[in-house]
Amino acid sequence: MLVSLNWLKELVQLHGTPAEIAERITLAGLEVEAVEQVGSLLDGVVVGHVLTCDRHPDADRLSVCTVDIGAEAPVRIVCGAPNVAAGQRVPVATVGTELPVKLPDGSPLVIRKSKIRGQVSEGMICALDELGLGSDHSGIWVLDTTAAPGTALAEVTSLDVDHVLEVAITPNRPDATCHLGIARDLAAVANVPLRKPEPAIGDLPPADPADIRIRIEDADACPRYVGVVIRNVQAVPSPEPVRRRLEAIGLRPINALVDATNLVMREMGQPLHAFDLDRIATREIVVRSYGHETRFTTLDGHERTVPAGGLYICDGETPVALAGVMGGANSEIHNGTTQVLLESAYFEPRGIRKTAKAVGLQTDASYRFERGIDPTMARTAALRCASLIREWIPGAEVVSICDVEAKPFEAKHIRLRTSFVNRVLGTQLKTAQVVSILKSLEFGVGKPQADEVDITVPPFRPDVSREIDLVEEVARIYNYNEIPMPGTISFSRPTPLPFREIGLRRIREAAVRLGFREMYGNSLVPEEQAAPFAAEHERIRALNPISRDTTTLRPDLAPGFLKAAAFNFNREAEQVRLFEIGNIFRYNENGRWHPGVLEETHLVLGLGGQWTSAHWSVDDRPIRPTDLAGLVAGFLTHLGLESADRDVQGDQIIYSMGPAELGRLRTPDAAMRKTFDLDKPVAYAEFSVDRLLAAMEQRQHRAMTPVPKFPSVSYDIAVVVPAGVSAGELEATIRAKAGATLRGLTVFDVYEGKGIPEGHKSLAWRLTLREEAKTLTSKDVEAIISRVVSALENRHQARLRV
Amino acid sequence: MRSDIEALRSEVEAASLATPAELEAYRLRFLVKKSPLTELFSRLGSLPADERAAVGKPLNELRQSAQARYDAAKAVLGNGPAGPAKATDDWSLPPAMPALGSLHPVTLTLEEIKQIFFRLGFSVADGPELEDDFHNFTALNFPPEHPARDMQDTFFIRKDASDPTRDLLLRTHTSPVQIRHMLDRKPPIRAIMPGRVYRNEAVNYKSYFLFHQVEALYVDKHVTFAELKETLVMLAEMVFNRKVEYRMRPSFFPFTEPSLEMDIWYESPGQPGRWMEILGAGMVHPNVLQAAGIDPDEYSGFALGMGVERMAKLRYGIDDIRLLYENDVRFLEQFR
Repeated sequence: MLVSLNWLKELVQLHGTPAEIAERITLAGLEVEAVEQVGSLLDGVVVGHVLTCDRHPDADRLSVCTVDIGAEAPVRIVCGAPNVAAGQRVPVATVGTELPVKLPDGSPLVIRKSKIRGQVSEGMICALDELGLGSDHSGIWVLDTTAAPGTALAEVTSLDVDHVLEVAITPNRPDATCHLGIARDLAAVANVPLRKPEPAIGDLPPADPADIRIRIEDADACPRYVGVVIRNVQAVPSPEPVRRRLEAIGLRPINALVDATNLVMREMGQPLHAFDLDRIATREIVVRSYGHETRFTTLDGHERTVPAGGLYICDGETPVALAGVMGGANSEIHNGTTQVLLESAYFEPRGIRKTAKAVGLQTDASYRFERGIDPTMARTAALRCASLIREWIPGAEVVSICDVEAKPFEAKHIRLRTSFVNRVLGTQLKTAQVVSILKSLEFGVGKPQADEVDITVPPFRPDVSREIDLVEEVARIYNYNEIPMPGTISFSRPTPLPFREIGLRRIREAAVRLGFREMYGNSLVPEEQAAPFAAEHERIRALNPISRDTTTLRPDLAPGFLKAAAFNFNREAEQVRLFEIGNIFRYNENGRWHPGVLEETHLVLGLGGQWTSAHWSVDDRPIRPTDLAGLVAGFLTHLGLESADRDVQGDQIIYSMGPAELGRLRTPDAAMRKTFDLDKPVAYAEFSVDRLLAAMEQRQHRAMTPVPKFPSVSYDIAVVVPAGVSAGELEATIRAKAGATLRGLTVFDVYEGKGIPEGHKSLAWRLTLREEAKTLTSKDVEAIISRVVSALENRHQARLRV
Repeated sequence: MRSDIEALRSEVEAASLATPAELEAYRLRFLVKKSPLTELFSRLGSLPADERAAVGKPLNELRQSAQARYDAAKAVLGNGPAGPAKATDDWSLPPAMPALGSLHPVTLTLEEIKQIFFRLGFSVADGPELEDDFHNFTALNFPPEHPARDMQDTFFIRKDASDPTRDLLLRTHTSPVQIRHMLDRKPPIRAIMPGRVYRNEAVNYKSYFLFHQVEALYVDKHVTFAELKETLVMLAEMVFNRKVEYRMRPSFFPFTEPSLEMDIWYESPGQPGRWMEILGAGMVHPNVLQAAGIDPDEYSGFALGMGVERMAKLRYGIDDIRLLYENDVRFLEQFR
């Protein structure tokens, strides 16, 4: 909300610079986000008397003038305005003056002595816009004055400087949606009186029922409704200072009537509305709602659908305003309006908010009503507004008032204990200090009894309802920064960190050690990227997504990795090696937090592009899924899960620990590669972090095992097998036959081609054998090898290759 | 065949390997594809299966020891002046760099903040990102139909017509974890709640529809606002690792009262200094304690929260928040 500093100064005595005042407002609880100067005193601009005015010898549209500016000799000024003439009194910006307008490059306009088409010019005769006083650039401003040349312009015309503060209003401060509210905080901080605007019209006679009758059908929704009848109005502009003030705080001046309602709203916080009284059928106002949905055209010309229960202001026949939100087109004032009904009412906040949300309209009025205005100010505000209308519109006649109070306001009382204030804040305030602060904020204060005092909450503070709210009021005016700090803190015995915290750190470290870079993917992905990973009924979608790219909660981390891989390949990355830890979401039978919703922390390890890049030391080649399988093996070993089962099923590897599946390693299929626009090989392994953690937690206390006392023996065998036999099958046989003595097993060569029969391949295995309790003899080794070889021959049609 | 093996072994052991020439002669005799050794291997296939292993073992050992002698001699000779250097022995060739892993800047920042909280005696708690209205709003003293709900634009997942507190949504802050944590145990409670949160906001360089927060909660007897202030100053000095100039402003959060925001005076090179908000905090509202089953007459507490991305941006001079979610390796590799 924009606030005028000059306006605040009318309401409370203020000292200090605009920045200092802004800081005071901020420290009392309303953050000032910006301070901007409006207007200028135009130092250096003086009254000039044009002595001569001749055509510029080399430019048709320019004139060369001699101007008396009160200096020893007249100055020569080149002027381009069509209306400049000898004898005029004009504003002259003298050399060195900085004008309050900006050049196209953003720098201020500074007047310098210069030559224009060969003629010396020592100053500038100004148009209104060049002085920051409007937008008129049709010609220079000819002053209506006889003041002596050299007189400061500020002395002959009303110039004022204001500062506009942009104040952030928190939802708990409905009282601060007007200048009076902000002035009240400043008055409390400085402990000086608040100067409330008093209506010039003290009171009015009750309205003649022939003029207006008001009936409230729903007293809870509208406890108070005040109407003022005003005659002989006309559409005239409001006074210049009023228009300037409204413009400064971001409002467009319309006419005196509308400007008066806006001014009072920004001054006191009461929204007002003017109906054309002649358009109120049967001269009757009924405040009511309908039990069904209705359609209504607001004064902005839009037809709106209002849900059942939305509160209306109706005349004798039909709705004329959507209460607290916007007036209707059918009762709006127009240029020919001669008499008005000025509405000033209190509407219950929740109803207004519901209606405003339903019709998608937030107005200055609904903004204030839904926060909760002062329920008791309707009459005062109406009188204040009527007074201004009478002052600003010649002949306007404020006739009468119709004030209906359907439900009286009851002030809240709160018992406040000084000991409670001190207990919460950690202070040693005295009751007198506490009471003084609350009084300065217009809280009613009873007679203190021992530790307690009865506090009456003023009607403009609906947010204050408990003792703790009063503590905040005291603290913010006292100034948070003045509350002494103890210098120490104390806390009870810390609890151990959950295993999850420790385990997550180990998981991240393991991935980083293996050369993976951490990525952060989006939790919301496009539908087509979620679809390959979860069935239709499993996918969770936002009801109100921002865009088509963020409709669906990720059911898997793979889409994030695949997207990142494609992104980096498009930017010449040779290899991507990324990991992410994050939550995945799907509708599912077994939700941990909410029934039917699975939310689980997952980990993805992704690898793509080149395994080795072109380099003199290695042969370059693209990645293979087994490269990732190796990294996964290292990863699981880092976590102490090297004993996890690894089950190769076609083109995926399933990792499990006992009955629990930990995760899977896969590659995207052709359709997925197309969806993600991938043209390089990628593989990814996705794990359930929750299950990894469970497995890790079971294995976290591992005693060291002794270093082997006896040496190991390695033995190489190369076997030729039919191409269809997988290494995994051979490995299973070797492991089964070699038993516990086998400590290491790897394939050191894979070969097919020359020397190997068609449809066959050769796998060369290195077995590392070791016994815990003795050195293996050649006999021991021979026995194992011959068992292994026979089984390979019998089961897999293998034959030894030499 | 055993005797052949023994004979070859003697020959291998007797060979002199004193010069590069002798070394090369040895290699050509024993270690090439066609050698007495490989010839013996090829005869292995013709033996009956039960003898194969018995013969194969010494043969394997012989091959290994022949290679080992060669390797050892070569290692010794390689140090001498003899023999031309191979092109790949050039130490000035650009070496290959192994793949280096790294952590995301948000993780690095969050972990550092967590370590600070651990030093201050806090533990850690977690909860779901997909929350219900009760935990995200109602229990945190956001009344239904209250403008405070507009402070946080919410992604809704599922509406529950019969009971709006069961609406499902993406949590807008990590505060619902406070509720879960308090409902789970009795005071004293001292824990942080880090995690991902969501706001339905347009994406631009300074705002993203998801980000990360870390909140802290302390509930015990006699917790005061003064102690909150002390904790915040300690925290700020530990986060920035220096004395900081700060101010505390009253603010509004439905779940704390009194509430505050803390600004620090921040000067970045070449720019005028300014107040910069780093966190929000306050005394836990009695309504919140009550909703979480804690007696507000017996206990009090404070809560605070900060945005991790904001800290990461400050720490690393990141000027566009979208970089954090693009996963460009050229960005990620800068953080170690």
